Amino acid sequence: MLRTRRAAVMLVGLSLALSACGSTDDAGSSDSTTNSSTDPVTITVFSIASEEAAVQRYKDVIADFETVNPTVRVEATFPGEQYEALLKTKMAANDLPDVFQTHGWTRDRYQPYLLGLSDAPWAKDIAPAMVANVTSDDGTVLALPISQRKAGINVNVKILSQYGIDVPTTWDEFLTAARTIRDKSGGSITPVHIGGADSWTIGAFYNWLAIPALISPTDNQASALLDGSFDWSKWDFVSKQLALLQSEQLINDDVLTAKYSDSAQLIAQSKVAFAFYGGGVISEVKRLNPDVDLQMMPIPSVEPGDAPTWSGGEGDTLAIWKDTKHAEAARAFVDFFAEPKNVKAIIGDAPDEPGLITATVDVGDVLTTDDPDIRVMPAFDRQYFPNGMWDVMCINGQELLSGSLTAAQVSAATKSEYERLRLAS
Amino acid sequence: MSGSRRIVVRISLAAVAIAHLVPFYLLLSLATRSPGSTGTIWVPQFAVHWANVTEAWTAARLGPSLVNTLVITVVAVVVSAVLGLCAAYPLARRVTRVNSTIMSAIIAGMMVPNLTILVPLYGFMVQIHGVNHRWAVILLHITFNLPLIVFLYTGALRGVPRELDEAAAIDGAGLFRTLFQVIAPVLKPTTAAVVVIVGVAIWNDFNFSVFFLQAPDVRTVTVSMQAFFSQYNVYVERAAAGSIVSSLPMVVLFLALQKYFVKGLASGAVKG
Amino acid sequence: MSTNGYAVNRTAPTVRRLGRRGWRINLLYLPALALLLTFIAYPFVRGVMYSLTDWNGFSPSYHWVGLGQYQRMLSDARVRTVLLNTLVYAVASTLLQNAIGLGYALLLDKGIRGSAVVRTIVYLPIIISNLIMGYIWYFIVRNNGGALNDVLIAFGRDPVNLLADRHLAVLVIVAANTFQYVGVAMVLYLSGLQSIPRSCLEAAEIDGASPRQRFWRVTLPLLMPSVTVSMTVNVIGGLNIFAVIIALTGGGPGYATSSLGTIMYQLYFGEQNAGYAAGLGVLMFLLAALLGLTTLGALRRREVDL
Repeated sequence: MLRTRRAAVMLVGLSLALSACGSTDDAGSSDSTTNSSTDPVTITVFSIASEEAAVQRYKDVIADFETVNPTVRVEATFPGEQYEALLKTKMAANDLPDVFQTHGWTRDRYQPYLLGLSDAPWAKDIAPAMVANVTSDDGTVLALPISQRKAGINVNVKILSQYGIDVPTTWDEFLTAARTIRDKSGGSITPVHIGGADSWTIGAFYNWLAIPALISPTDNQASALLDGSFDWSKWDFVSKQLALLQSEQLINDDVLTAKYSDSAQLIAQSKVAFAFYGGGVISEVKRLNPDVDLQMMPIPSVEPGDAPTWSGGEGDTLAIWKDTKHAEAARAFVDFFAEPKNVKAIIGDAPDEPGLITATVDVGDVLTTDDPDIRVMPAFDRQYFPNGMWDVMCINGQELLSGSLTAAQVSAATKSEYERLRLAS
Repeated sequence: MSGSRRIVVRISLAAVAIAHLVPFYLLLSLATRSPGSTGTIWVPQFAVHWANVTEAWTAARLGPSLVNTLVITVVAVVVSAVLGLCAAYPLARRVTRVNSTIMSAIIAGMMVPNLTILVPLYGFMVQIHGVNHRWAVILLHITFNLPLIVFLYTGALRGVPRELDEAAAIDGAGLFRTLFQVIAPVLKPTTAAVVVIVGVAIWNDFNFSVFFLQAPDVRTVTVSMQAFFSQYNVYVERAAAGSIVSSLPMVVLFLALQKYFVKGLASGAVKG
Repeated sequence: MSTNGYAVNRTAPTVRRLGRRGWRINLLYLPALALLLTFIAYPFVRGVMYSLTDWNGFSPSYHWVGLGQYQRMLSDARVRTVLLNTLVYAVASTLLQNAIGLGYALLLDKGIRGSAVVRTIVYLPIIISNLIMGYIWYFIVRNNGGALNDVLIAFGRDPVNLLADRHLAVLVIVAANTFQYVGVAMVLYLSGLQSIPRSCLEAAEIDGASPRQRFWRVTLPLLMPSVTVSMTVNVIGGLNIFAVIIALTGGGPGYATSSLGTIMYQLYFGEQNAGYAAGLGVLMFLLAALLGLTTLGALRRREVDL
């Protein structure tokens, strides 16, 4: 009996094995010709978009592209959280996708792998703020900047008005506002909620406060950070603010064990006044509770006489692998995304600016102010830190909050990694 | 067994069952509630939010992913069990210094951490054009489960007396007949254990699948379910619904093999 | 039950027949060996090579640093914490899983009606992916709205934040892992228990041995092969705990609950320190080999032949 059972199992196994070999055919491997206009060409596209609505926006534009270009098939992959790890592995194996997003690292990480796009039809239309991000030192355009991020501190304005507070414009005003909410709400509202178990939330705090602390004032540390002469005792300030928020109970007690998803839930229940999450959390909160209006305010200034700023930087960018076997199709793909209607489609309802001057979007009322003079500063870690510092900031911040490191020790640890990574890049 | 003893055992069993069911109950409760609901998860929502299931199914493309996972798991389990048994036989029966060394080397294979070899492995896979092909991942799963399978089979074989081999040899059986028609039936419980343990491990594998099966049409369920966990959106309810759906095939497999799993062993022919 | 070395054969013709094709039996393990060499040994050697460099994980250039990464490991406080955590995860999980698993197996072996159902229920968590299980546990222990706290509050007590204390958090992770995989030990022990001939136990009973004596003197010694397999498998599994840690604490705060596995991932892909991460990988391998082989050796010696 076992004989027949075993034989049957092996037969099933073999037939499945044959189907396993057969049906995937050329998923992932490429055809060799690029010129023939009748042979269908498949290009691989990797996008870092993970939130469902964002993924759908990409898929819609891709579908339009395929309709307009029937000879090109697009195989789009959205690895989500694994995007970076996957791309790094692929770089190491020299097996990059034909088109992929460079998520802020066009110059500092992906540059050696990118095809020059200076002759693209949209190359002259790049918004001035984005030119430096996507252009190499010798002036070659490396990527298409579809959008520019504009991020600020999340604020529930309804809660603020409930306690008679205006949107703060300086860090001192911010602290006062937080203290007022702490005192007057009797614990029912958390002034600032940070889901610190997800270490990136702490990195976000550092990234944003570093701007008014070190970059936005007229007399700033920008060049010191770039040439390595930065005095690291100045980094203590940001750590000390985080520690202050904790010691004055202006953030949730369980900051180290709460996750971002907990923040989103509490914000959706109107139990949180401020958060350091930027644009992404707004759609999540809406999904959980459409009645809560979460907005974004510019990052308050620290130095007297300075003004609030937005944290910016590259949003969605597309670049082409320099060793792609389908350069023509890939260029057509990227050019399609540069069309103004597609730029708008990708941005959707996110509070981002277009990366090309040919496109305009209506940001709606997500921002607390639409003052056009508020400066959009580059994303701090991408601009002023070497590649790889993000995790260093996140983990050291956690150690600070847990009490195992002092502000000075955090600065020392951050400095040593900064130096290691500067040397390596 | 005395009556009071029996009651104690019964109560203990009930307690164990309830304790182990709690997480599933909570999972079910999560899977049936609408997003954004704030009540405690101990109290399920009686108006089941079926959209969780349908949305999970379409958003994560669970249908095709299940098929991929099934194909990969079945093929890998069958081939690795066969290769594992073949490898275990000489290692258990013919104990020489060479074989003992090989046995230790194979067991050492169990101790190699996945991540250490992931990146070099990926580079190698690119060279042999295995990325995004199911056969490549099947080979990987076979390879990585072989040490455990060999370990289990050699252990089990040590309990099967050589008299059985010899009896088969006397009857004129060749090597393969001895192994597959005489020895293997005796090892049914071990085989059942291998199928379940290895099958589940492959079904739930994430690391290999995410790195080597990137294209949407070859993805497995574990990778597809990642669609619910992005940085800014955590679709807990859908993830819960999706997990229940994607775990069902393995549950069915386990229920089907249970009988062989524990009962049914080498009987009179070997012991007694 | 077990024989080491060649069996004593009483029929000469059979010996010769077995002997003649003796070495050819070894051909049976060649396919397995080929696969293992190609997909494990070769990449592992390359991985070891990375540990001798300062590679960042993706760029084509790097420098040889010899044993520099290993020297760094010796003075790195993070590595000490993480090493300790990994050991705790491995050893504590194994001991708990085997003790509880054996207990369950003994309960289930009594043949009470419904045992099969309980057996299935205990094994079921293994079938669920460990990432999902990790999240379920997160929903139980989390501070804000966790199932555990809901129960405590309902009974009028204060909520607890189990993950806040780094030592407790480690124990929660051990508990979550044990809960999910105790079924493996249970099943291995059940198989072992059911292959113990009733005649042995009956003989002991007739000789006047109490149930406790029967357990310690007859059952347990005969169960040793199952103990060996179960402990070894669990130890290696415990070393590799990954998804549960990520789901519950993310390895944090800082590195407080990280294991070698999670810290490797963070260093490799997050901090772009692939050379160092590869070195930790070698360390993990050595640790696994040490623990695994020690467990195997110690237990195998205690196995009893029937």
